[in-house]
Amino acid sequence: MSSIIAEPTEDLPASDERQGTSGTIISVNGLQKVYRGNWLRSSHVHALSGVTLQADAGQVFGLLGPNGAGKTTLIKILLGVIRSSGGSASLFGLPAGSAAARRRVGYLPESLRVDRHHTARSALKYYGRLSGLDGTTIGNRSDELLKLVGLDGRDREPVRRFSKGMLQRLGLAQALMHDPDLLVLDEPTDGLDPVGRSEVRRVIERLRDSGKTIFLNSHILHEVELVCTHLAIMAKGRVLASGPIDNLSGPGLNAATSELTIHMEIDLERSTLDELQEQLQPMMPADAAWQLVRSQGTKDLWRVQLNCDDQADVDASVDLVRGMGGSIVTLQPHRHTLEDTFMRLVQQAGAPVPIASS
Amino acid sequence: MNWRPYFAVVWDSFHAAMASRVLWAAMLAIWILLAMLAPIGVREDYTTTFRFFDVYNGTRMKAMLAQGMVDPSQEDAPLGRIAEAMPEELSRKLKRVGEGDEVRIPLPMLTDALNELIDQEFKLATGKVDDDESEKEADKDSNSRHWYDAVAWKETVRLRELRELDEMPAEELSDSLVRRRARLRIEAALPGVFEARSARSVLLTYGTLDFPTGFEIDRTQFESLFNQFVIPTLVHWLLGFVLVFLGILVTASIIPDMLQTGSLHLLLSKPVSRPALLIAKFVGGCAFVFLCVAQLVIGLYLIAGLRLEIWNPRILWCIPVAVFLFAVFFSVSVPAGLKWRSPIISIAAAGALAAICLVFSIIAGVFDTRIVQPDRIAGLVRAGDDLLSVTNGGGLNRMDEEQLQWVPVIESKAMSNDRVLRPVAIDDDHVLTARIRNGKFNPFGSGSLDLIVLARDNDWKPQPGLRLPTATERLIPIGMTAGPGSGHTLAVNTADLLITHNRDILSSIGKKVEDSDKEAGDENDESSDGRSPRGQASNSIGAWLSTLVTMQGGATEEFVSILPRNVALSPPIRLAVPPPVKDAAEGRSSETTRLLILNGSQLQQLEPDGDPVENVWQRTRAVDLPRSDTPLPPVLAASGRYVIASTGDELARVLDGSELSEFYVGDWPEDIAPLSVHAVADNLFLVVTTEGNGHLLHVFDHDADDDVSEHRLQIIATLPVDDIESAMVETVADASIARMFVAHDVDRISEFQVSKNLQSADLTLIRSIEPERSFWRRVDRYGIGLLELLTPQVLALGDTTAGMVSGKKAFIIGGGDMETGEVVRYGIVKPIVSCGVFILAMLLLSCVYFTRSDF
Repeated sequence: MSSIIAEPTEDLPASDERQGTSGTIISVNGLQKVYRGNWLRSSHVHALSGVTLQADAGQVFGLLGPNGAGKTTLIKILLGVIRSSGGSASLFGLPAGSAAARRRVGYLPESLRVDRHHTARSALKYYGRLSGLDGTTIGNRSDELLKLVGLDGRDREPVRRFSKGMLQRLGLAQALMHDPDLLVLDEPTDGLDPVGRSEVRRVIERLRDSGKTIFLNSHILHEVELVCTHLAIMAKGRVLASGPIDNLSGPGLNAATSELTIHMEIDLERSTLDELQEQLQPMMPADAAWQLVRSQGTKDLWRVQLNCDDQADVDASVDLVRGMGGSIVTLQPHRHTLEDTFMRLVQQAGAPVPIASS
Repeated sequence: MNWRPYFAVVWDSFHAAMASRVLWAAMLAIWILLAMLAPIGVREDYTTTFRFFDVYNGTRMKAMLAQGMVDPSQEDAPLGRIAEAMPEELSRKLKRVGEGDEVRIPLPMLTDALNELIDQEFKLATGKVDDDESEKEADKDSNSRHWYDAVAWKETVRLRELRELDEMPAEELSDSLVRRRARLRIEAALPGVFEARSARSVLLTYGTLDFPTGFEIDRTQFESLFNQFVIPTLVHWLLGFVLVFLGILVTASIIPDMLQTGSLHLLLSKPVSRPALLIAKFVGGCAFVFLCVAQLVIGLYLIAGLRLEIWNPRILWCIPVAVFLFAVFFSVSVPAGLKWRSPIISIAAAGALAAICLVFSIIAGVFDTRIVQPDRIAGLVRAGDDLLSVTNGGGLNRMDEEQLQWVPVIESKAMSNDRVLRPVAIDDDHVLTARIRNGKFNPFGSGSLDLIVLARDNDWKPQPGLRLPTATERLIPIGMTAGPGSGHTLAVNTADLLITHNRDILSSIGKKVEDSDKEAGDENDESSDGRSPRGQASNSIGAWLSTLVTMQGGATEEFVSILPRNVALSPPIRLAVPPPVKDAAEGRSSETTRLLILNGSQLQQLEPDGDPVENVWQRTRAVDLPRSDTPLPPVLAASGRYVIASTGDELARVLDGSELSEFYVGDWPEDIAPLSVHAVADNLFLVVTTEGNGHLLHVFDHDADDDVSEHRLQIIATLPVDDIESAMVETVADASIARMFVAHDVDRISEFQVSKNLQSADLTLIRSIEPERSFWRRVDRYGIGLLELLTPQVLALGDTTAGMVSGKKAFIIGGGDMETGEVVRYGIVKPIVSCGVFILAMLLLSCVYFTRSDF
């Protein structure tokens, strides 16, 4: 995707000045944000309570969390839209929100709104000018970007005729106008239909493949899983876990967690039930219970869920059932997913669980 | 700093406005308006017909025509001939007036009758008689004579224009000129009735059609009316309210739209400064209004130029002023939009500001009319050590210098309809004035009018004195010496000059005056029949006509006319009495009293023929000065050596004091617009300008250095006071200094002293009296003043427009026939500063809020 890398222009910092294009791009340390009430409403809202995270060059960093977790607040502080109440945040080693930092960031806001009088091309021209680009650069970049986001041929249409997916793609194009070192995408697929999501996701994947650093904020697990290399999970203004998507670490993950869960259906003599239950009790999750599926004569069919740390635990539980004369009707192993981790962390944090999960 | 992003924001606002349907609707409305105005044009023609507003003194006209109808001696005179030609119904009414009945005759009825005479003359001169009328005319001709007769008119004071027209062969006269000649003949027969009008006037046309009602003012007046009234009104109301309101409607959403989540965060993520972004949005909103206003104003400018031939590029000033006016309202709409993010609240905020400004301006206006205006000093007089002033509220005050306050002698009243004549002192102990009831609605002063005498020994209480001639507008004391009751007092009305002895005035309040001339005076009274014939107000026509004579403003029991037959007065009139000089050339050692009259385009000098009261005065000099109607008033002042006169044509004329020969004609120094001029010394004059400033003007002599010959008139000092209401100069013939009393800032008085001998500015402020303000005046100064300080003076921007379009700093309203009329000073800079500070404060507030807020 070399086409989206723009030639440096006089308005953009020279390459030697563009520090931080490798190494740490985003560094957030103990960031706090308190929305203070006014004289009518004295309550304070702690939107961020000591957020710490780091994103490096070339990563697609996902920020996952339920609504109200503080994701957008974090992005706003990074972009200088609002000021933090404590802690620090920097982009490319520059204070977050400074004009020099903002010059190197491309941003796609949640539910982008483009004035009705614009066409795709005039909107790109406007936002290009706001980024300090000259007319020629804007012209050249517009053609490339409209093609990239699949809006070529519709660039003279008024945006009021655009679908939401087209608008988001136009938003992506404007964010890329000045060839930023960091792309910040706030809920890029929110509110789109499956086709729209797929189109936007495809563009993001192409950008990822071209090596762009992307900071993506979403509450859609599936989307994050598909495009992100790194992740931070937030709830209630705190980072619960962060790191590579397949190796998350964080205070919320320190509690002993099982590698896998098995679901078993056991056909069992009614008289041995109590003993078996007693034997398997340590492997039972706290919120799980024995479920009676059916009764036939002296035998009952039970469904049970067991946590196993390793394969030996699975073997031991099978041996136990078989040793007590039970017949294993079905055994279904279930490996933990990101969704499970997310749900668990969010539930631990006491935040409302999001409905959208795919 | 990279300005590109901000230009982009301005352009985007502009772009957004262009996409708005309201803009196109506004533009369509503007083009329709311009298309409707485009056919308006003007045509210049001779002033031929009489309009009711041409009549200056209707009572006099009624009385004169009635006299012409009933006085046998007038039968063959122009007056009799015109009266005879009046239509039947009017004749009947006039006869009843002549018989002493109180009959109301509407002015239009009189002017229509006179216009009928012009038509008759025209038909007779050109032979254009309609067929159906010819028979009727023939019948009428058989038993009546035509009103005009060349022999009869020889007796009248004919203007030069009429003399020239009378001498021209009839066939060379165009139709308009025939009518013009007829009008001038009627004016000559009825002197002192009509206001001086210029020979040519403009008529409005629409396409090829003439407007049905005439618009008979001359071109200069038309231009001045157009620039000072029509354009400012159009701009102030049409642009100021309609377009600004429309502008607010369209632009109110700019800020709330910007603050919508999807667009604001994106904007703020760009490397732009927040205050600059907000200012750029503000400028963008103003740019939209600029687009609309520029079209309208340029359209008006082109129509004015192409159709009315008034190419006044100053009209284009309306564009920035209107955009500025919009900016005031928009600057309130912006913070409201920032705070509440709602276009409706933005509009409401601008509407609330408009309402607040309107209410405050009404309150300030009420305070001004009811509290401040009545206290404004309209005239000053000094009797001995006492200072008396007459106020706009028709009151008369005396300065109590110990208490530093004005003590009312006659109470001032707000919205007073009474008019108090400018007081004059006839000696150190007596001041004369008069109060005309309902003066403002009774310009002719009909009804009883008594002289009011204020005497020191009576604690300056007003006492009724002699009966004044009707419609007296000014009193002038002349020829006074040190003794009480010496000299005379002239009463000037619209048509006549009348005189009386000061001793008679004192007698009327019961004072015995020891005077050596007393006997002679009595003789005069007894031998009044033996005097030389008097002017048109002669009282020799018989006692039964005395009522009519009085109605005409003629002689009363005590005041006798001194106006020579060859002088006719028609307002505006300016009078000056040069200080007496020893007339050594003719070997007379007595001091000669002279009176200078600037009347229309003529400056005339009158001198008494022997005794000032006994005989009609003689016209000893007359100089024609070019005249044009401009908004400036005529001014006249005479020192012993020079006369400064201006006929309102914006040129200063300095004439030699004795010969009235031209000494200097040129622009006023530093382009001042004089309102009144007062002689201070032989070559020193005090000029009060329409802006309310006072300058000392020095006239350099003939034998002065050649370098100054081009600048014979120079300002050598400016009084350190503003808003001068009135000024008075006190000179004593033998003293080396002159004292000047200046009333300024409503009712403050400053006294200056200036050396009469030095050519350099030697001006000293002796004292400044700031009278204690009444409670309501303090409320006005501190309460209303504070309100005015805190609110933008948007309504006063109308003044700014008028001042900028006309290029003038003041506007003189009506009046001014005998003295200066009411002056409205345009506060050009003050509203701009007030509104500018308001806009800056609002933008600063908005920028701080926008920068410090979390969005």
